[in-house]
Amino acid sequence: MDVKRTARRKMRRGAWIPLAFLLPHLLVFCCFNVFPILTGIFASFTKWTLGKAPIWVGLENYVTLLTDSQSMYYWQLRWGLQNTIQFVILCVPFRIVVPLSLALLLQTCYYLPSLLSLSVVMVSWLYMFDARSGIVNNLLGLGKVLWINTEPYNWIALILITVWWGSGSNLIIYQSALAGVSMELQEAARVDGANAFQRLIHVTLPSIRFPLQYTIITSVIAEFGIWGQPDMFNGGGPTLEVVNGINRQSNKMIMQYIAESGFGSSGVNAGIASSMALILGLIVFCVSLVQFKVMRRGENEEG
Amino acid sequence: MDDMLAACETFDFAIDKYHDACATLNYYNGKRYCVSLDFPTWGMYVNLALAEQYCPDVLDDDIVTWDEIKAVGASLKEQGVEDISVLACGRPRNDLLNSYLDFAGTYASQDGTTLALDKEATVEMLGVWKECYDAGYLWEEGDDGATSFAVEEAIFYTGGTWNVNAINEYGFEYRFIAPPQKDADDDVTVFGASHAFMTPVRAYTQEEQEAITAFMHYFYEHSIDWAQAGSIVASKETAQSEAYQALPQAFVANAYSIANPDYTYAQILFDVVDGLGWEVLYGRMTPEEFAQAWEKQTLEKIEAQ
Repeated sequence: MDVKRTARRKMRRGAWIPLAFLLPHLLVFCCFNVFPILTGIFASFTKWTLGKAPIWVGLENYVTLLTDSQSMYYWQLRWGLQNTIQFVILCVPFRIVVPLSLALLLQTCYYLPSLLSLSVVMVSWLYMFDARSGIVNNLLGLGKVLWINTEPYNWIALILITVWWGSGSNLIIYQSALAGVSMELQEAARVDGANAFQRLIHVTLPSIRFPLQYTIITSVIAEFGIWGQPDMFNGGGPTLEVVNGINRQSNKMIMQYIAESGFGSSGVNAGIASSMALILGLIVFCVSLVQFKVMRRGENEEG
Repeated sequence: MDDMLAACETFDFAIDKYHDACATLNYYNGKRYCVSLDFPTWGMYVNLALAEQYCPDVLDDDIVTWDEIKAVGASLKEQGVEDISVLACGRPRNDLLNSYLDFAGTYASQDGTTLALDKEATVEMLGVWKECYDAGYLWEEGDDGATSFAVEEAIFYTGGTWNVNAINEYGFEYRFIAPPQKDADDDVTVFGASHAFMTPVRAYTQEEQEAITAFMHYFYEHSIDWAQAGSIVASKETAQSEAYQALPQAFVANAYSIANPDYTYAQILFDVVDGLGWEVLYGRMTPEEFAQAWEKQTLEKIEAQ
């Protein structure tokens, strides 16, 4: 009996040690993750200009965003999400295929663009895409193509820049994953008469399935958060239509509307911005969940 | 700030020692709440060689009207001059706000608290811009106004006083005057703003008050450096100096009034114009849609405050 009690006391005495190791990280995590998330959720139910105390408005922000077609925020949410989803659909395949191709064929020097800061990247590309003096039009002899403010060129340019800039991290992952693909399997496939494409589809890609899944999910999440590139490129692009006094811009993303509402130089509306952010967060969560489930199902079926 | 200025024994901050615009701008509810340093102001740069060649009479009265812009544009077309535009522009926000003030006069109620946009005047103003753009007298979409002016492909270029030093580098003779006006007979007002010294509302020790007033006094007497960096100074002492009068922006300061944003939500109003940009000129929005969007978006952002 005494032996048991002593052992329990010893365990209790030592229980704080792992907690002590975890504590610094937990504190940082709470300060910089949990607290801002909770503040954001709270703010989404308020009218808040940041300078003054928030005023509780219940579900009013969500009602405005989801039902009030006279409000500009209603349209900003729709158009912002629409543009963002369009961007994700157009950009993510390239964010996977381009680095994978580079990893299969070329060298890691293609990681270099990822080391540049966004402002350096955007200023450089802005010069290159300049209609009159830009290298793109002049080198390709395209005349005066308005890459920055005309559809579909603005979309092509944005996707090109994003893929060029953002492929490095995926490239590194694919390179290390490809290094682990079994040479025996490749050899066996070759002996069985499989050509290079068949080996890629039936041996290489299944062998790097997990890194592929990881990069697809992280790329989708990353592109849902696109903000800096369109903001610096053309501020959201040309107007496509005007509805109820609100102009719909070609490539203005949901994050731009959130940043403008939450931290713009004028008219701060942190409550609406938080509500939009929460809706975006929920959508990203659902999309990631669906992706995860689909990929898991694929694994199970194969297994 | 009234009490702090009154208590200063080393310098008299009397409002008549400052630019005339300060008489209203530095006061709120009859009390002085700031001391102006300068007025970054919008205007128009003129390439004198090109003006002499293509429109020698247009600067006679120091005012360029929209009718003159159209006449010069038509004349360039007649002469078959394709590579020179009459006017290249800087930032839509400043250009359009300057024009708006010319066409409409004001954007707020007299007490500066309520938005009072004149949509008819906005439509009329945008109509004039659009007419000139469609006729090919202005820059083309995708062109950078500053570059066009720098390579002498534009006779006029709208810009701020803060562009003065960049334009000095272009290496040709120029003047700085008011942007295009609706009517040469009207008094000219240029769109500007003021950098000003303000103090947070709290009690200040004697030592702090002396340090603050000494600092503002120093700037009053040494504003010429600030002016040379590209600004219209608030200090009348500096404004009357020879060094200041030799600067290009001195003409604008002497000849025209400066309109300062005295509307509570001016920043919101201006930012919305920035967002709408030149869309009317590029045919992606009608002047009526612009006017409606400007009012609607401004009001909704104000409502959220």
